[in-house]
Amino acid sequence: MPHDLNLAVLVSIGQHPKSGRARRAEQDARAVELGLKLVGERLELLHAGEAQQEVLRSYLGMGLKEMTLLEQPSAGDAVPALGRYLAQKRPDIVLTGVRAESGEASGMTPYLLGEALGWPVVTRIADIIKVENGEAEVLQALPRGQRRALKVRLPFVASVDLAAETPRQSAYGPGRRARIDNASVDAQQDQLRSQWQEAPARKRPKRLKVAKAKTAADRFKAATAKSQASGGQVLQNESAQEQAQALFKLLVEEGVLR
Amino acid sequence: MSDLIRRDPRQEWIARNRLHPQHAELIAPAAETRGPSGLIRRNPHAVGFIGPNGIKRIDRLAGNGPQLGQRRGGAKAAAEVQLPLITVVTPDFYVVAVMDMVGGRLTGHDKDVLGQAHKLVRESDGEGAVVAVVFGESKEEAFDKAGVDRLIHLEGEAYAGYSPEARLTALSVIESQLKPRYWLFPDSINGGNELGCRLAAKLGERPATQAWQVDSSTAVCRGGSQRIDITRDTPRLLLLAEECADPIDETRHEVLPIELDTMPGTLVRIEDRGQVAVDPNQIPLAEAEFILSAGNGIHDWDQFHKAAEVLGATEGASRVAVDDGFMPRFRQVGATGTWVTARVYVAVGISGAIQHLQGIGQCDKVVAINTDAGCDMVKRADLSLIGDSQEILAELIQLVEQHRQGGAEDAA
Amino acid sequence: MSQFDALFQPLNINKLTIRNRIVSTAHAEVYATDGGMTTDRYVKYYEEKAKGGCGLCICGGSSVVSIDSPQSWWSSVNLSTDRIIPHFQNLADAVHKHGGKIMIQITHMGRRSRWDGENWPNLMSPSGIREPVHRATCKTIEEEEIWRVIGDFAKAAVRAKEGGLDGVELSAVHQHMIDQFWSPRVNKRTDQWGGSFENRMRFGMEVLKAVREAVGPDFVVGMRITGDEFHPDGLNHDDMKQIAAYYDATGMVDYFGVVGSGCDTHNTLANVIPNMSYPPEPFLHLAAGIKEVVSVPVIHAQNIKDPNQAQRILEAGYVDFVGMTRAHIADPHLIAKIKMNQVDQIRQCVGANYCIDRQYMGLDVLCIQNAATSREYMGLPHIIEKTEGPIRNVVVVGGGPGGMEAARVAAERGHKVTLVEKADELGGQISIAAKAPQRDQMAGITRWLAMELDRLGVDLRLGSEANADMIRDLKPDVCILATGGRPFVDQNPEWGAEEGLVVSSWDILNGTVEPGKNVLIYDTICEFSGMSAADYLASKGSLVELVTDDIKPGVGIGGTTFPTYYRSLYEKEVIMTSDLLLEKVYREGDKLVAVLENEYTGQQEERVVDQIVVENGIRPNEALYYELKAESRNKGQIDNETLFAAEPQPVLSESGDGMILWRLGDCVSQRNTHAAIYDALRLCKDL
Repeated sequence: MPHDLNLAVLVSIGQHPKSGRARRAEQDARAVELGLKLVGERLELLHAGEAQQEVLRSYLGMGLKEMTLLEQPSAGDAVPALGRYLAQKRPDIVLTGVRAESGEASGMTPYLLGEALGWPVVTRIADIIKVENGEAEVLQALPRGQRRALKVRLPFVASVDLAAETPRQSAYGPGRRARIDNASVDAQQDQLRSQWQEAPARKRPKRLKVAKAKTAADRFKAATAKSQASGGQVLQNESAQEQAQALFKLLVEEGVLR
Repeated sequence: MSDLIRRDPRQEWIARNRLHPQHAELIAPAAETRGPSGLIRRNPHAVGFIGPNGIKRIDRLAGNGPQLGQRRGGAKAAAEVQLPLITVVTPDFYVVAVMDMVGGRLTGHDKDVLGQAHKLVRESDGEGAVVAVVFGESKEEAFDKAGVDRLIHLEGEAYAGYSPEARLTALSVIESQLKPRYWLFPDSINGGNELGCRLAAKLGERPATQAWQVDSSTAVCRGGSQRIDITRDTPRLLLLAEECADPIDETRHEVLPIELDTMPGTLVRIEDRGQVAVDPNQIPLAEAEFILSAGNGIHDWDQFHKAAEVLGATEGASRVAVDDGFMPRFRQVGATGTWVTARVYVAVGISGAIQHLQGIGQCDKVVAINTDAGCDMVKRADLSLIGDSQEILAELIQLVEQHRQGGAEDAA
Repeated sequence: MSQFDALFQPLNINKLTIRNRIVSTAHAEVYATDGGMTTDRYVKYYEEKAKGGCGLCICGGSSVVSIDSPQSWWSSVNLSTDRIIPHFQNLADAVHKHGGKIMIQITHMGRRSRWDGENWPNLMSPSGIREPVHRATCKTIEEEEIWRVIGDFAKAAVRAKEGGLDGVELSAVHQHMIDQFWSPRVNKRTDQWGGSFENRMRFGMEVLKAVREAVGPDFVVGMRITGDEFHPDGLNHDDMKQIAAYYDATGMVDYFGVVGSGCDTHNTLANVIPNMSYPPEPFLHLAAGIKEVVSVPVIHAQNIKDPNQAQRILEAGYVDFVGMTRAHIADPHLIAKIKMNQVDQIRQCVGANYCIDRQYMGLDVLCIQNAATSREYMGLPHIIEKTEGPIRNVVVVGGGPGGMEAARVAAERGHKVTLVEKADELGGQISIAAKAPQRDQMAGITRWLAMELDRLGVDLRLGSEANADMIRDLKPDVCILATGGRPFVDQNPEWGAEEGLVVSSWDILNGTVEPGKNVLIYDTICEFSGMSAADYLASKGSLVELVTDDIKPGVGIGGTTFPTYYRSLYEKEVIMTSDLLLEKVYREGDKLVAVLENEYTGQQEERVVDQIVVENGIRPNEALYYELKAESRNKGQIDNETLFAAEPQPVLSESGDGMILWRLGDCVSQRNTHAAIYDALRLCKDL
């Protein structure tokens, strides 16, 4: 890694999915972990929003001495302040989580920052392998546990996936002793959001088999009958080699042979 | 079939003439005839004939007993119903839905989004057309039944692999060309969320995300950690949750292609270096894309494991294989184990207990390798290989190894 | 978080906290004695479930509230008398002691009963329409009787409350009185009790009001309803949603139990307790649909047998409680085993429906594979304690269900056990039965036993046929023969088994004989084997005629299982012919001719076919027994007095020379799986 690599990590206030208690956000903590791996203590930790000391200190407790707080009201819009701050600081890489754990959680922050700064945005990364010659080699997390290698030009914004390295534990004492600097920024109200209504989430079970059958007999059958022949291709008299060939062809067509 | 009654004057004549040698045969009540309503009429007294030793005899193969019919559904067994075709001649507006197309086919989520698109069209004034935007290779054959009025299919090098920048450029062209009333994306990890967010950032639209109940005035969106629902005005750009609306299933649509204006060049700053090999057995079974699954038809377990390794498939197992101790419990597929979602599921020596079949209900392509052509797995499968699994796997391993070597040489 | 955490979230029904999400839903036990009282056997049966961790037991399926709803046919619980109260107190104490909760289902069965016994009542129903499954004719209920029955419901609920039970469930399912009023299929009234939606709802509403009034606001009152009757003239899912929402809106119902399907025809009845041919949780969508429209917890059972499956259903939020009723019949310690991370040790229900098929015949509910269920009161154990007596050398011959159970129990007792089996794998006749279409789950019975034998370290000698010398060499203290039998195809020499003119159903199912094109199956047994062979052959494309000399093919198969065979057989155009004896078989060219004779007329007829399968039951394999009998200490005898009392065999405490020799299962005489397992358990539990 280049010695002069500058890296900023944006962290937010997380929320336990069951209890709702504020906590270190899982993706953000992974972003910090990745940042620590790349640049150690030099990483710049940033939070724009409410000053929830306890939670912020749990990020600091991962081994950082200080962080910058861009204080905003709880229903504020953090992006403009962040954009201005980062445009001024010009780090090489900005890491964020993919989606916040509370509130709207639109996942728009990295994209809005990328747009504001004019930087490329790489999503759902699992790791940054190396940075050299103004380019980074990034490992992106894909669905179904797959990975893709990307090369991206500095500077860029990247969101960190849960597939990234698990974050280290936070040490309570050092976290308490670390410094939180308040950068003075203008508070930005989120006008649109103030018009929205929030309510506890309603349970939304997945759709069960949609039996559109109209008659009683058809509904009966749809619920109870087991699968009938689906009209698939059956190779019975072909040689094992021909059969294997047919399967091979299907695997190639479906793109699962890598 | 025509409703006209077809007369045969010759037969009628024979029927009237009791002296005709064929008279008895013609008038004898046949065991089975088809009545005018299309249902089978059976005369239970007319079955059989008197055999050589004077005893009534039934020989079904000789055709004098009730026959094994060809599905006696009668009129009901008519050909598949042709769904009505919906045409939109001159659309007043467009609703554009950008599809995930995992593996080159519409996903269930894509179809939900198209259903939502039509819901928005119905609720709006004027005649709207639903436009599906598809990037890369397409194997989809049923765009019409999924509700696609218009199709924009963008293929070629620029859109291959991970190409968010080129795709964003294309969406910008669509924005200026069609001026869509709504932009819809599946809010998924298969690209929909990413592309939707990118376009929203570019257009300066504030999207509704994880929206699951949407009409033309309000959208209900699921907030962080699935803990809150946010009700808000419906914006122009929506990222829709799975099952936001019911898919289209009772109509057909035109799938007329739309050509785009010339595409401006894209500055590509993110380069796709291809997928990286991962250990397929580290992937949780429920998420695995490609599963090779073993049942009690497997006799050579070493070969099975080798096949999985060579293919790069995640290993699964039937309950019996687990109970018998050949595979660990967490590899068990089915109602009593894990529900899997693989795009390709190869079941080796698994006959397909009903619990197992429930567990693979969401798989796209199922392949059965089995000695029993009549087993339920074969009925479920898209491709069935009837024969000795050991031989077939051996051939397959060889083919894949050759393919890999060939691939390596090509690369070199 | 644990893999099964969704199962263990406590949830309230009204003010009652249920410790987990697993319910043993109401089923008719056929255990009540002394005119419908919940006596010793009944109490111990539920106590065992509570001991095993079950959150909520709803007992007494179809317990009656009125004297004109007969209870004696199904030995169901009788709430029409105050006599029941002290019995309920015993029941409630036994369950509460272990942290469980218990409620009872109460009902008036209306037309769904029999009138020809007990008090010989006129059965009553809204419009006097006959009930086909019970062949029950009935009168049209009158206004005065309606109000009397409503009052009976309230009195019965008070008795349940005074007996210390935690709640009552009003049965409005399975076509009892309440849903007879609901369903336009049988309610044709034009007065205030029929016609419009409100009128059809009135009876149930008045019952609900009266019961709630009588028991107060805090006592649990639930309702069990169908999710869709599946009859063209009956209630469909949308109707049922409307009904559930209507009653829910009163705020007087504390939970809904939802059952898929009506059940007043044989074919729909089979749905209600889905056997092994059904998909898992086939009617969950109906329960989930009801949950969408009500504000109180929803319980759903029907083919939920596995903790993974239960977890998936609860986690997704389709319903609030899952019923695992047959699962508890097969293993009342199911929940304890999930908690102790012993999921593989759960004796899982396979859906053989021996339990419910007995119930429909008015016989006590028993489990095909667990002989201790409902015999707790006799001292038959679910958990086998180690012996404190001598450790014995036990040799079991035969790896069918009886032999395996004997080996399992002996090994649990701590003895040194060797099991010798002729075939290369365990299972015996269960393995054959499991080869038929839709019957593969049968193998679960012996698969569990095999895993237990493995866990217990039983010395398995597969692929070795036992003979007297081998047994002597093993020097057993106790030798148990469970050697089964062979198909009895040679009872009538005219059938030509010797000349190979006929084959057995075993030959067919085992695949040792290729299916013919045109096959006649002659089945004198009329149980599973003949139907299974027919289904198997038809699924391979054979033309099949199933002929019996009995009343009808499959007549020996219970009410929830023959319909699923019929669905399969009729669809494949298998012809079922009754009342014909197979007189003889002869060859004619390359064909076989079967000569059949009508028992009632003596009239003969023939079939020209190319394969004849004879299912004529089992002839015991008893050669080894007679070889060893003389030298055994007990001359092979089992003392029936102690056996039937489930006490130790006297020979175990007597000294003497030579081995103790017992035989059990089909090698004595043909009975069934339960019989073999029961004998094995009661013989070996005191070994």
